[in-house]
Amino acid sequence: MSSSVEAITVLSSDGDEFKITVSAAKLSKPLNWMLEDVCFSDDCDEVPTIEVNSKTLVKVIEYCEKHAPRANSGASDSDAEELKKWDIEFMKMDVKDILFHILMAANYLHMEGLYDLACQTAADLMKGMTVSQIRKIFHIKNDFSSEEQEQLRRQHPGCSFD
Amino acid sequence: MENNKESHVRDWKDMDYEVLMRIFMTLNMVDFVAASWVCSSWRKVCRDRVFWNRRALDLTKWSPQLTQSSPRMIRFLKYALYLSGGKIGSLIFSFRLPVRDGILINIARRSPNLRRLVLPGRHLQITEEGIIEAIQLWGGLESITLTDSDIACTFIEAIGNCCRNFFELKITCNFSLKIAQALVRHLPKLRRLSLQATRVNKDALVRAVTQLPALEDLNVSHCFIVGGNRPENIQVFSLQQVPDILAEVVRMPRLINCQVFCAKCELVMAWNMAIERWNPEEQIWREDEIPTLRI
Repeated sequence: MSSSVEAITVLSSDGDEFKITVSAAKLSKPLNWMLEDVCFSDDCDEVPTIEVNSKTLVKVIEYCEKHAPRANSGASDSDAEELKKWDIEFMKMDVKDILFHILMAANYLHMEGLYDLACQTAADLMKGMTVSQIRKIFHIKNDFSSEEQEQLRRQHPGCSFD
Repeated sequence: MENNKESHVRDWKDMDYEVLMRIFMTLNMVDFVAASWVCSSWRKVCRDRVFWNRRALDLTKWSPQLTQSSPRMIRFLKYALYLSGGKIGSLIFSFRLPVRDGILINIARRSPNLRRLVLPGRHLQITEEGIIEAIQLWGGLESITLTDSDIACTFIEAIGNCCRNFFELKITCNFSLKIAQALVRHLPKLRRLSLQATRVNKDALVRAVTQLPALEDLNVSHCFIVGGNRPENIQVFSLQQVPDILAEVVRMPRLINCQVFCAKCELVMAWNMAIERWNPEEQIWREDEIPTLRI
């Protein structure tokens, strides 16, 4: 395969095929390595698999394609403003099904920008919330034993936010 | 269906440790404390040694809903110390919290690994005995930030007796001859001293630079250097007008001084000359040209 390749095909962990442009793949080191592998490989038919499910991979690729032009060439301040607004809209997603996997994927794919953005989104969701509200937002069950909780509550009155 | 099953296998309670740590690191203390009650795996992250080694317990960054009530602040502090399991490396007090002996000693018992203490408060109600007992528990202390007062000298003496690795001191207000003498006597191995944006007694400064042989870093940016004790005899100096210091400065690897009379210098002067009634100290003391002393 020649160096003029513009997009590569990857497989999600569910086995679906996705196309990602070369410039977008540069936002992630592991994706970039994959790209180099594909370019140098004799066997062009081999499609690399990314251990990210389809639903999440769609979002990751969407993020990469949006951010690639700026990351690769630099852009003006007005572009940066526009991108920030786009990021905010982009992060409006299901906390349990998507945000969770986006965080894992951004960590796994070494995507600093997306990782920071997703961590901040998760932290913002907790701001000013009570413990039961946080549990509801993140779909987490209280797995403490009641004795254990009660004892700690007694030792630290006013610190449990229930 | 199998996919569905898989998505139930891992959820937010099993989120990667590293990711949770990164998220929790950005939370303020109230939200952080709430996170610690969510589930056992989240609490485990909140109690992690690495986490507390990286994160300073900074009371100045606590939300107003906490800092307006001292008893509430102390309850939170106690809970945060419980979570840290004694692993706190850095503790920053706020100006607002009135600290008494009992609080100081209790905190010291729960933070035996403390390396940096920032105690700038004006409401300190601690005694000599309280300071000595606390510092004995903080044998690993390396750095302290203090405000000038009688207790500053007690701290310096106690640190000289108990803390072998101590090397860094910042004074947030008024570097007096008394403090300089205490330093020369009890902390002759001091390597780093910051007096940024404070009122500095000229003789005290001369004493420090000539009689602290291990001193490598000295920050005298935006300082208001004065000589004389009575208000009517006070003279104001710039560093260039104090030849004893200039001669000694040559041997010092890193002297940090403001080259021009900047806006901050002007503010410190106005405050010290009582032209400006607003006390800038609470804002300014957090800043520092020496990165490790910034808050």
